Amino acid sequence: MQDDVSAPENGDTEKQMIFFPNFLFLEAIAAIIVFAGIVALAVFIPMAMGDPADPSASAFKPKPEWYFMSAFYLLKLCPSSIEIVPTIIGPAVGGALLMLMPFIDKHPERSPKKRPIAMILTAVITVSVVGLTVAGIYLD
Amino acid sequence: MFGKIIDLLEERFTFKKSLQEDVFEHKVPNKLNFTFCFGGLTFLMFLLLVATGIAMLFFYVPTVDHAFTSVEYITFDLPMGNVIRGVHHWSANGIIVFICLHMLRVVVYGAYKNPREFHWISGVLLFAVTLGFGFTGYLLPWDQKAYWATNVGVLMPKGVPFIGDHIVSFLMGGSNIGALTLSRFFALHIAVLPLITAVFLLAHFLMIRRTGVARPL
Repeated sequence: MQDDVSAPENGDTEKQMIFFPNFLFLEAIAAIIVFAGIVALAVFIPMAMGDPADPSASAFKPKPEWYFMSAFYLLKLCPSSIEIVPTIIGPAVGGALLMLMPFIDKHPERSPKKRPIAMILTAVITVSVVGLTVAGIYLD
Repeated sequence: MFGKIIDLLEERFTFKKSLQEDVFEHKVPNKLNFTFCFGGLTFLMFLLLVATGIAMLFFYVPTVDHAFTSVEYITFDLPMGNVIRGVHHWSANGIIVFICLHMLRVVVYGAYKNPREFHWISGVLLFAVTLGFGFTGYLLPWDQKAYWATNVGVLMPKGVPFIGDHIVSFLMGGSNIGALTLSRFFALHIAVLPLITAVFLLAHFLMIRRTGVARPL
């Protein structure tokens, strides 16, 4: 069957287990905890409503969802002459790099300790995005 | 009688056999730790979003006049409405968190390397589509923060060479945010993006079943 593809990497089939119940058990516990957490949030933090949209109230200060905050804040930090950097060039280059990761970091070595460049790059990008998000939320 | 129908269907579709062999008995590397759950948890968020999204579709009205009041109805008057909307809201936030954790795990374990490059690419596309869901869904309650945040966001593609203005006017359905913008965001949110998601999700799952999970280091 197709299952052996993960085995030949170091050639011993003994280090495998059957999905059910072994991994499904772990996955099910995680799913139950997360599901309970989501329902608890929904129950204990009731959804509210803002004011209805008013196209004439242009003084309203927009605030995006937190996952767009890094881009939003970067757009705010950049002078409008180079607006194209956060709006187009950043996402395009970032998206392309992200997609091409397996072809850039293509040496078969998988251990993070032996891939310092990939790890440092990942850390730098993660820290910058998290930093911009936090800065956007608290400084804006 | 009923058992016989099941047997006949099983003979033709081999559901039970597939479920047994391809789901329950498929082999995974041992020593999988909890970080291998993030992909599955992302899928759980997706399922919750689909279920609560469909439930709200029965009440939500995507027009400038009624969007806000219909969301208000769901939030305050509909029995369980607040919980349904709340689960949709928190799952929408949760899915971003779990996608990021899933991606970080894959990067650290080098799991996107040959033969799993296309698993990764389909995943990056799914992430992009998820952001699209977040962006289009944010406008639907038609409240102040939705309206003004969309005002900023929708102009972002303006700088794309040659077609930037066309993308913006396609999304807005005109030169400012109004009835057509709401219709288009709604159509994208409940029809276009779900279909794209279904295609890439199927590819993502079929490929990972084919190659198996990259073994832990």
